[in-house]
Amino acid sequence: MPETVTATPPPHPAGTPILRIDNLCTWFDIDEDRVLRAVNGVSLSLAEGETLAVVGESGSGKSVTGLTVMRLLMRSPARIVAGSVHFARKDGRTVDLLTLPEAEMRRIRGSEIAMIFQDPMSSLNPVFPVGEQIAEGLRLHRQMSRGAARTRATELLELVGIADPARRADEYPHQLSGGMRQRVMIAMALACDPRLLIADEPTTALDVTIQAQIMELLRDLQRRSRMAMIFVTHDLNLVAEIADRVAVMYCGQVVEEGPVSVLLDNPRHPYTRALLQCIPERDPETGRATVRPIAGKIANPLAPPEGCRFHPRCPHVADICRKGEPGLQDSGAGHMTRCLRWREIA
Amino acid sequence: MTAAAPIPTATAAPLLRATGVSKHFPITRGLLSRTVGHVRAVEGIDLEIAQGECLGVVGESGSGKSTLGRVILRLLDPTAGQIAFDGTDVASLSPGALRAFRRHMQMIFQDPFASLNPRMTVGASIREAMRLHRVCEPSELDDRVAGILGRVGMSPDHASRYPKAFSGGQRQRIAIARALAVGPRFLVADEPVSALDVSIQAEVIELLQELRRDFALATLFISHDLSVVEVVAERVMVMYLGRTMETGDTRRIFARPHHPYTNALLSAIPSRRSRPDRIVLKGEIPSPSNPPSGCVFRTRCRHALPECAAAVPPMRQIAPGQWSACIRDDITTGAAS
Repeated sequence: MPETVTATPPPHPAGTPILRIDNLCTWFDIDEDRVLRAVNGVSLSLAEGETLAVVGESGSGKSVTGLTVMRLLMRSPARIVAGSVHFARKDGRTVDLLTLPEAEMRRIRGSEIAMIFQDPMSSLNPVFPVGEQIAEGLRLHRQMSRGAARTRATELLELVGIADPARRADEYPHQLSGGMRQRVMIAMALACDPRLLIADEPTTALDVTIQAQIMELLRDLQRRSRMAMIFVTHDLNLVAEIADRVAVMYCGQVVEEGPVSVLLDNPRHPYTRALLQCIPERDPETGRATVRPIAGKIANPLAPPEGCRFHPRCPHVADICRKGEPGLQDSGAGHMTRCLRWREIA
Repeated sequence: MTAAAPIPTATAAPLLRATGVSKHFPITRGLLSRTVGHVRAVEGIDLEIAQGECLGVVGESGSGKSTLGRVILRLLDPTAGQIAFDGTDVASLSPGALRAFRRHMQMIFQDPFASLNPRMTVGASIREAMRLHRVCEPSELDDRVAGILGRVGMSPDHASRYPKAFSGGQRQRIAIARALAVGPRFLVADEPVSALDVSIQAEVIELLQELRRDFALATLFISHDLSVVEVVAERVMVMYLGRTMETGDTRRIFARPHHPYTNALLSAIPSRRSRPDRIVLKGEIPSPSNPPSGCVFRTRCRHALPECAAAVPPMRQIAPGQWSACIRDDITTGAAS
């Protein structure tokens, strides 16, 4: 019964993928004899105009997956041990980002694939006005003149909802609020009209009110372009608001993947279920708000448990879970679950 | 601010009562540091907390909620107002008396790495607090440290390790142990779970709830996360630009908010369930150095009337266990609408 790790990605529901990650393994060499398998056999795909949320806790590998796609983790201690990341370029060619010469990757990065991060302050250069930082990408990737790039930068600031964009373009990052800085980051990411945006916890540092504004902005921008998005987050509630599909990661692996409504309403993997119960929520019947923590401790990524990574914390654990490493199993409608017992516990 | 209005009351005789508390920070300019204005971080706040009760304080960054927590512990001196703790006027304590008094009032912070000394072992950090407040005989210290560590779900042999050996959740447990080691009756928790992963957050929330029950701790729980406050706090206070917008029983306010700001905040919480009628507030919180006249929220309020600019709306009782500083009663809000 125990199955091996599947290397084939799940069948894609929505047309030809713009991005296909196959069996990706990104490891970190901690010292001579310890290896952190941050991403270990991840396969994901994404169609044009689609949003895939990658959800997990710290250390689950969700950010490393995004950084690997951007090819920002090619040097020691990081090591891409296996896998491929096929990306459909604007000119129609499909390339494996992991084997591309750096010069060509540089033409894709920031142009065809853009990324935004949680902390815009550390991704913006503090000594240049924000307009100039947006214009830089346009001049580099689009060979625009200084004047044209500046005009476009101001338009972009307006597009992301910054009032008085011409004046703001001359301001420095420290003069802007956190919400405005994140808008600048989004303007910068969108400058070259990317086919894929990787958003790594873009609203985590913001107030809920500002978060709601940024989410609305991202949804709106996506409606207008056909941009695909990978939305990395720890917040399962946020997922429902933006994603078409969601992949839940635990300990370097995707443990469950599926259409957002199916997965959130009918989670099959015990980890997804447990994670949903950690979110403070009001019981509609009693009116009482509660949280239920997950039993046990998060797996040590340097020495992950044998068998299913989640088995030491799983309320449904059986002997087979300790031995065999479960593969992703299709439970219908593109809903994949890495659990040997999903049928019994459903 | 609203001397005639009843202070929103604690469910029992209050352990802590703050009346008209304000904190202004001077804005200085030039060589001689001339004061050119004030940041009105906290403006005329009234609150009460009973023994064993938890009051949640929510609001966006810049609402003054953290400043309020610090003023109540007198880590900052209030510009105006009284703070009475079990009959003692905290605002007028001498520095020496205040130091001794801190034994009753402790604080935990968002970032436990910044609040634990990296060069002191966990045991030494906890022992120091207990020694300073002469909690017990020096010979008992080690036992007490082991006991309190066990109480927060850590092992006694963690006492000999340094903070860097622990994860964020464990460090928050250590910070809680240190705060509780001196036997406080009142705890200010400033975003204690905001930096933690959701599963760890759930563990720390559960621990804090347990400890609060067992030690009958009065708690002021400051958080920007309304769903966390809904779980931990019996009563809630919604702040905006240094003022209270709405306060009362958490369940009542979450079910039927009266103030448009509370309604907007609640509607901004991401949810798995569909929410077709989301209110997205325009713009950002204005500068507290130049707050709008009248109701400070009116510049972002879609229900604002010309009258809202005229005077600061008084806090008034809307329903049993609910007070709101909005002059309008004709706005339908919340889940019941």
